[in-house]
Amino acid sequence: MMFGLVVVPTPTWYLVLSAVLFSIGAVGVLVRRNPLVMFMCIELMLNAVNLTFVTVGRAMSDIDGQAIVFFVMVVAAAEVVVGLGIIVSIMRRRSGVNVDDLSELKG
Amino acid sequence: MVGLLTAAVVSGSDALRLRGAGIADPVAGENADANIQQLANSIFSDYVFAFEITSVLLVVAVVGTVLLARRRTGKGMA
Repeated sequence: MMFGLVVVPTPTWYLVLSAVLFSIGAVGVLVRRNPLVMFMCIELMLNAVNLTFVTVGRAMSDIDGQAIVFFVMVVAAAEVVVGLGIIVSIMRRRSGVNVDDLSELKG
Repeated sequence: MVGLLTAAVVSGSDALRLRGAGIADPVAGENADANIQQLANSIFSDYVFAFEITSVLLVVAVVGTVLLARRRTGKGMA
């Protein structure tokens, strides 16, 4: 290190980073109206949860924390694939995509 | 939301400090596997059913997306 200072990261640092990433994702989903940006923010939230899983699994010396990250990634990939397909089919019949304009299916 | 996340971080750190101290490091054993081998053992033995279910999920997602996003051209195609 520059000042001869060795900083050892603790699991608390990773938990704080995960909370910050999740906050950015949640605020992005609530604020932005572009569905692509909303998808990226959803991915940000999912990966913040992945970071929490790996951190807790490492601290508890358990491999299941890393095993479940694989399944979370697979589910996230399937979700993004279906969501992008829906966005493409919406873009075909509309000029632009704005989430507030998609009000045909209001229940 | 910031308060909730701060409470979650603080409680999680406390729980890790309380519980994680007594657990031995699995890499420290004599016949300890590497990380990737532990992961493979976990996925392909304990969670092999979930692994198969994810394959079904991926196939369903791809088929659904192709049905959604395919350009409808020609006749005889749905």
